[in-house]
Amino acid sequence: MDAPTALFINEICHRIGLFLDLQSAAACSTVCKTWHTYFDPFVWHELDFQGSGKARGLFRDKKMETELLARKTRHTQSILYGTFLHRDQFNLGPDCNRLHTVYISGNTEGWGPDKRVPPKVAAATTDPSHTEDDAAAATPSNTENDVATTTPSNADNIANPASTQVVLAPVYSERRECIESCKKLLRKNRGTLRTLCLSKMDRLINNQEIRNGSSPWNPLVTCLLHTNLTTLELKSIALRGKHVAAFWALCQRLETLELEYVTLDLLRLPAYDGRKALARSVAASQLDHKLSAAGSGGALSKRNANQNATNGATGQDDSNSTESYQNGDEQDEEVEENDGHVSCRFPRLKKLTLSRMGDSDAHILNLIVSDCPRLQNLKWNLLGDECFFRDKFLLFLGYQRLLSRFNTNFITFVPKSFVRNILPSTPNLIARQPKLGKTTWPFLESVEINEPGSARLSSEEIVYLLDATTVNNNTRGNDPALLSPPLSPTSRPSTPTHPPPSPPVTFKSIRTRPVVCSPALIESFLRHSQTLVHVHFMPKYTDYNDWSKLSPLIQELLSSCVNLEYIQASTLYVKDIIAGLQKNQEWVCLKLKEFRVYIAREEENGVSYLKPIKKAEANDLQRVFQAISRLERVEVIEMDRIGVSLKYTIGYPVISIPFQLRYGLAQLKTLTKVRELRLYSVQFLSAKDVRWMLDNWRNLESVYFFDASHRTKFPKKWPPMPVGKPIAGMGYCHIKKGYSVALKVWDCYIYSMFLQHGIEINRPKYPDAYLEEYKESLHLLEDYESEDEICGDTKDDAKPWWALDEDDEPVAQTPQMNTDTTVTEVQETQVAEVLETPVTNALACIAVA
Amino acid sequence: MTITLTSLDNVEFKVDKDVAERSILIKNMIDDIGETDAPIPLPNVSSAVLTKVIEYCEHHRHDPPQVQDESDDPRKRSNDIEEWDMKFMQVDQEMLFEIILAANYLDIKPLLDVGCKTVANIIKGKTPEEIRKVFNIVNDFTPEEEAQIKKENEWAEDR
Repeated sequence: MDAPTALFINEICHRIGLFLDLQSAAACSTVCKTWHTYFDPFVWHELDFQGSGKARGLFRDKKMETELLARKTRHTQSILYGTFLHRDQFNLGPDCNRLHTVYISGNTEGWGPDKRVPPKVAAATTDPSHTEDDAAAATPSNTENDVATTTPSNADNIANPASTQVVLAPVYSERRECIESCKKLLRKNRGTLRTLCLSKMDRLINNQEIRNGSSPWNPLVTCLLHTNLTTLELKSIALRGKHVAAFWALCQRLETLELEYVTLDLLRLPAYDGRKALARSVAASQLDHKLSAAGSGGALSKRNANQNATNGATGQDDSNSTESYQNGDEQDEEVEENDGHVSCRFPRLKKLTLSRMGDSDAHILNLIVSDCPRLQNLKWNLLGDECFFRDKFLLFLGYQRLLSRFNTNFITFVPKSFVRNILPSTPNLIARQPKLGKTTWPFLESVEINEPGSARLSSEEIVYLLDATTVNNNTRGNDPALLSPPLSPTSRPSTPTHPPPSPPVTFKSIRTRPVVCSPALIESFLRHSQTLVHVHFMPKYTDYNDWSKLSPLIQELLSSCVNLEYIQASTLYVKDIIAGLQKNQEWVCLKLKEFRVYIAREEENGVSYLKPIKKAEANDLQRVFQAISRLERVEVIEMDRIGVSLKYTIGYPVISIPFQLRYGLAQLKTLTKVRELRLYSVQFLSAKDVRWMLDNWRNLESVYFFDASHRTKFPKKWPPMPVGKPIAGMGYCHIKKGYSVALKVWDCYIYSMFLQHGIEINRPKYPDAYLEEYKESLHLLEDYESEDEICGDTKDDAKPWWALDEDDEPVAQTPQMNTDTTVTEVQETQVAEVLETPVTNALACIAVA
Repeated sequence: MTITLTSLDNVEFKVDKDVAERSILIKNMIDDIGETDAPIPLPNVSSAVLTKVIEYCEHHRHDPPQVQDESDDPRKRSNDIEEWDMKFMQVDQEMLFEIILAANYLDIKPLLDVGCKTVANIIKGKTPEEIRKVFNIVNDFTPEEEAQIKKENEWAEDR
């Protein structure tokens, strides 16, 4: 058979190349001559010099000949400069002129002192911040760089770097060389560049340069000439002077913007038509916020602070700041074109990501709501300056690993009193600002708000946000800015925008953590009930009492959002489900695929894990399982306490509903698509329940037990199982000292059951010898299955092997339970009679231990 | 309204207009000559392949029209294939390349993409020698040339 002709057609191979990773492209280019011409360009499409990027290897061993490199890089479309590590990377082919993406990081880690310099001098000139790690360097602690605040008299020098007479240590002159290369690169790709990412540019400068009146290089102003630039990412950057103006001019045509720790005053910009009032009030309230922030280590440039102070002194008039920006504009012709024509700040923005912006949340909120009419995706990490303390503190405590694990930094480990005393309280600013008329985001698809441990957004603010997504035709008519912003001269022809669909237009996804579940909040959510697809409430980690507050909202969502496919939330209480059912609120989210709701039995504080299930409650549980059984498309069931470490929640007062046949598990027979099950603890399951699952959920692929991850180490030898007194399958009892051997054997047993059926499980692997060792006791565990029948008998001699001694007090209650047989709804008649026994037995066992 | 398509081996296929117009080639033809009952000859596509292509177009008849122009953006690369498409593409290699050729000829971008993704998935993780074997490609490099290319691409290898 000959090679398929399709593989020798240029267009087809080109398309295949688009889907290849670097390695495969390299392999393809070695296949034959024709393929070499097709696929070699794809090897060079992207040069990644970041962290583990392969392109760093280009200069590692043997350097390629410059000529060859130049020829190859003609194909390059995206260059990612991770660090200013090697000057050669910046001299990459002068023919690189088709770049779509450029990522420049001023990170200088690993940039050793130059060999030509005597070590002493090098040490003296090396910025100490180089040795700091990322997290620390990104924080305002970097005072050296903050001194880079150029006084206005230096502004001219920024515009014309050539005129600065700076004596640089060799290592810095080399850096200067790199910057020049970067500039060249950017200049060459004016026509093609679409995405630009800049990070830590302030690190490209040292104290000496600052003293000589230089300022960090920043290409934003020249980027105004990149007419196709639609994506901008800025990270750990202080924008000053004309760059601020350039930024706002760029925003007129950006479609994607990501800002992370950018010390730019997002709220201040040249005042424009109809916005003066807003700007003034913003400047006013900004002032006191900034001043307080500056005291707490905010990375405000002095210049900004000075301006704020001046504004304050002149009766909080915003004219000063406006003028200064206009001055900035005059230095640069491109910017001037935009001045005065600004209609709204982000007229084309589709995707906005904000992280660690120090400004007041409420103000940013207002900004986003009023100035992003075409927004589709909003991601907002609400981490302000205050997090600096928390980061530092956790780092100090050695919790760096933890920090990296949780994206948002939780203060689980910091005593609350500490937080309260050290962190500045966040005033609720929403009342202090002008509330703009309700605006619209007709294209919005998702909102994601990540908050740190302490609450930042109040539920009123979230209501405000939610309401903004509802189309309000009146407002649209009144506010021309929201209709079609005039094209600025530098922007490229606008992408055709579809007319806004008819109302109600809402977003599809939300991820946030409302603080208090007020009726207004529920109402706002329900306004989106037809369109919500994805809901993720992050639980508040510091205060478990807070968890209960969302329960009514979750119930409302489940019984009104018909298109819901994913829900993750804690905590939904049985009582709220029952209350809903009594009002005939059936769950209607029949399209649900992932059901990650922690359904809990109890609410009152201090309830023990061992609290017995009474008959009335058992009936409720049956109804809960019935409610769940309606969700026939569910593939993932998660019912553990999401993201909470067991260690720190001892005595946590909610208990998940037990996944047991006797409480109605069998009703979940309808959920044939379940492939993943995540429960809190294996201890809630009996062998019978597990068998039922294995028989009925044929698609089950993996099982996850939350508490398993805490037990990764096992003793070499377990103590012997207390003969006659093992407990099994019921009532997860967490007591540090007496964690019973029997329980571990039980874990082990259930684990092996799942494993035998080829189901993935997150348990640490128990040594095989464990089960072997307790072989003789295992039949006892197996017997547990028939426990129902056995327990049905109250005679002493018929007691199950794990039953109590006669003189233990719960026994006295057992007959009492048995006599109470008025409940008829429970299907298995014996069940009601034994409801309490296993739990009390567990209790007894602990008592014994 | 239905359109009649004639395959290479003179088999006639009657399909709905909106299904046929998934093919930009056919769409342009209809736009040019106006609506007509005359069958449209597709001399490059056999009836077996055309059956498959029509099956694809029927399934995707309601898809939103493709956004053009972003095809070259490396960031757009993504190898996930829809479940249905994946099953649809479970054919022998000969048919796979016939479909790709047809999609290219008929100008059905989404089908072409699915086909190319499938090929890319076959290629992934294979050495040049393995790739040659899979597709019956003859190595026409001299040993020196091959060594030279290997050297050039050394940085891209996994290590």
